[in-house]
Amino acid sequence: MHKRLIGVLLTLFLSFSLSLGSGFSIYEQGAKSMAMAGAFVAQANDVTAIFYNPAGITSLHGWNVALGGTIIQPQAQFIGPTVKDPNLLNKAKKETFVPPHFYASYQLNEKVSFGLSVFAPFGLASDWGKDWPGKYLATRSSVQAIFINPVIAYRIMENLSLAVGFEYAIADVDLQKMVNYPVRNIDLYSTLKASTTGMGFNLGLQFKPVEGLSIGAAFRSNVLLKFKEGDAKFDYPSIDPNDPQQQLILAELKALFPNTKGDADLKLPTFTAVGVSYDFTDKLTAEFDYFVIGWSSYDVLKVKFKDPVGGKKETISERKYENSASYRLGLEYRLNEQLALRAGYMRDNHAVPDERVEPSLPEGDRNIYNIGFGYKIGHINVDFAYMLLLQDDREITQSVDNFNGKYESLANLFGITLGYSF
Amino acid sequence: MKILRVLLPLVLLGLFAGCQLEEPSLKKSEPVTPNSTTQQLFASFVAVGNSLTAGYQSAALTAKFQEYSFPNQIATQAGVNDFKQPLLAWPGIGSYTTQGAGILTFNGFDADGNPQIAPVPYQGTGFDPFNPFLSAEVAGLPRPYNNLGVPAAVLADLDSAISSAQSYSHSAFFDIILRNPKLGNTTVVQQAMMLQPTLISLWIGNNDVLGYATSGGTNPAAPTDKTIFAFLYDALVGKLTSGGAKVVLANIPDVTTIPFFTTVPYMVEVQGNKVALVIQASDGVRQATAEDLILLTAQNVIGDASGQYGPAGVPVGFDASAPLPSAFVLDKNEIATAKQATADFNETIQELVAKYSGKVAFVDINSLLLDAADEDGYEIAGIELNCDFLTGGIFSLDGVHPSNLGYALVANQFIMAINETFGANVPTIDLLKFMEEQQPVKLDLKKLASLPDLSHIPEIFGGKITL
Repeated sequence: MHKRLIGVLLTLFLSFSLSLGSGFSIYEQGAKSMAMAGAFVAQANDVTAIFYNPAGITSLHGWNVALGGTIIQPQAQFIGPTVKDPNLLNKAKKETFVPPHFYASYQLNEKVSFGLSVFAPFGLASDWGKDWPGKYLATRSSVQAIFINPVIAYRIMENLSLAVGFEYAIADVDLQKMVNYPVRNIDLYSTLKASTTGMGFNLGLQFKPVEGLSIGAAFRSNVLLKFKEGDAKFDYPSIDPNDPQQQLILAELKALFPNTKGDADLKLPTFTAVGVSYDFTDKLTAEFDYFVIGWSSYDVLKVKFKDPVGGKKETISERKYENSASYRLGLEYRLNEQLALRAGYMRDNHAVPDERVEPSLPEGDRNIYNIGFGYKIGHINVDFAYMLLLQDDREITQSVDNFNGKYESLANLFGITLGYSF
Repeated sequence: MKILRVLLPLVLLGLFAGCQLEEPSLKKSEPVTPNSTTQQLFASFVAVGNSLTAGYQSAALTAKFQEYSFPNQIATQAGVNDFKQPLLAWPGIGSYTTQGAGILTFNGFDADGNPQIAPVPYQGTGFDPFNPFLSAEVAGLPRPYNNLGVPAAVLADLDSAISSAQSYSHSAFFDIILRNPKLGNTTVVQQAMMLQPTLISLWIGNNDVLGYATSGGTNPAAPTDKTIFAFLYDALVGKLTSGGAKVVLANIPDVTTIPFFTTVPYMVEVQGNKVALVIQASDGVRQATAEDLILLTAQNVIGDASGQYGPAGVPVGFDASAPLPSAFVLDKNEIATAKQATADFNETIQELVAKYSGKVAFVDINSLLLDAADEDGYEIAGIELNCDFLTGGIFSLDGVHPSNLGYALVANQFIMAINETFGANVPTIDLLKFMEEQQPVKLDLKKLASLPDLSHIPEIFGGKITL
């Protein structure tokens, strides 16, 4: 007879945000390329090419293996929100992430080469603590994905190679935030954890029209991650077990916010790179790449619950991302047979429109400076890179969540790759 | 090799140094010291109006919630410590007093998911409706109260009413708040001027249209005439500013932003089908449409077959023989009348703000509520507030008056208008902190099992080290 009021709890207080802008994706999958700001799609001349442009492995002889990792140390702070105190300083926890990479290639004959790589193109988290003003948007958010990527490369003509690969992704997400139950003004802590797998493909093309000039193009497809039966868990407030009123409240919270299962679909964006490299002298090579992460496919995030949460079985949060483009310039100076010095600069544009920026990913336009070297001893080579990522301060004034303020961020990255060929 | 010797320490240096984010020297805002304008303005602060000014919520006036009246919240922010209010004991005087009960409370949901909202009975509380004050000290204040908001008052009452019997609205609260004949048979305006005010908050006119609307257009049968309204309001502002006081006034919210009108749907589910209620409209007995509004009070009347609202044995609202009575419906025509009256009153208020420019600050409460009533609500750092009943956060359990948080939102709007128009620097209320302080039970953050708070050994893939 009476309309169920719980069903009318239409607030989006349970919307989830999963921000994946350029900051959550990791393009640093080999110290040689990293030292040159990732401008490597045209050169693609070591085994890490399996990630950057697999067509390049046709120039590698015999067996080549490499193992390495990138140490990533991001820092972020937020000044605001203006609705509370425009000068309040909030600092994200400093963490260290070490996504690893592994490569192996084998040249079957002059025309055909095989490759296999394992890398983590997403593997970061942001953690602002449990009690900061933005806790109703995000406290801790983490996305981790490992890709296994076998490839086959074919030399069509002497100066033209093509490659195709298959991607198998293993991913997990962990999204945490505070939720406010409006009827009684009580906070609960919500955690959504899920794992899944997905598939995609990648392509590579390398063309060397004249001696010393190389043109490369590479593409990684979308990977659809269907998270099923993820755990949606709630932490309830401490109550006095002798107070019947508080017991009533706890029972109400447990009924409205049960520990349940959640499903969500997440489409990882495409990566597209085109570039040109030129050997100015026999010691000096320069490359320029244009790289786009196809974020515009990330429009909306829907989480479906097995049992209704807050009266709803589904929460929808609009993201409306834009593609993010970057321009990369890299240089390599080969001192002698053993030692090569490298440097690079990159300019990266933001993916998230201003009004939708929120703390689970404080991303923005960046200037990135790189330096490194490579050292060869017989069959072994060591590459090292240091990257300084400086993000332009991002002042938000039109936040759809009324969470306005200034985001500041930078990151230090150290890459090391050990290679062996035989 | 030599070069390696140079490079290696550089590498190691980079590894342990790297760049660091620069912290600003100011980590949070300095507390605000009131400037001279603020101090002068709040030397004597008085509030006049109706229930919204008094801090009435959930169908009663009682001290526990009068603390959160918007004038009292403004006074606290401005550093005023002698803002006196007519505080009433628990569970207070209101709509259920004649039935022997006070304020409404929420007691959870029943098995069908319906909210259990009922007034607190006087029995057992020791509350005496004939002596409702919180204490003898409050009752015996030797001067008028600073908060002269009288629930149910209409515009004409402020300058003429001295008691419940001698008023237009016949509100019982005139006797309680004005305390005549002890205070010399004085009106709200006279008592306000006795305090030699420097700043007066004024929010009146709501009952001139809402009295009509909340009674479903039955009592009164029409909103106050707009010409009379304009004349009286002008005279009122003139009187209040005559002694040099500044006035901050607010306009009247639209009926469709108030959950009292928008909560009960016009269609009811009967055996799996949606059926429109049969209502007593101003144009006859007919089925309700999406253009009619069903009042919150109809919830307990729909389907009632006791004979109290129609012939005995016939459930109310489903048949022409027992339509939902007019007092529980604001039909299409009545809505139009209410909206027109609201627009007329607000136009008058706007004109008077211009006429008394420099002496009067304007607060657009109507815009605030329209914003909160739209599809994306009113956001505060990711919390969405809106004008929904019970779940919206802004309105209290009677669906008409704001909650503590709603009154805090109102107070902030008044503060911003005062600062902008008169050059004061009263700090606004930090709403996030306000909500946290209001929580009845809290999370024990240390016990949150879902957070990793110890560094763990890095795993081979995607390993992370938390420092």
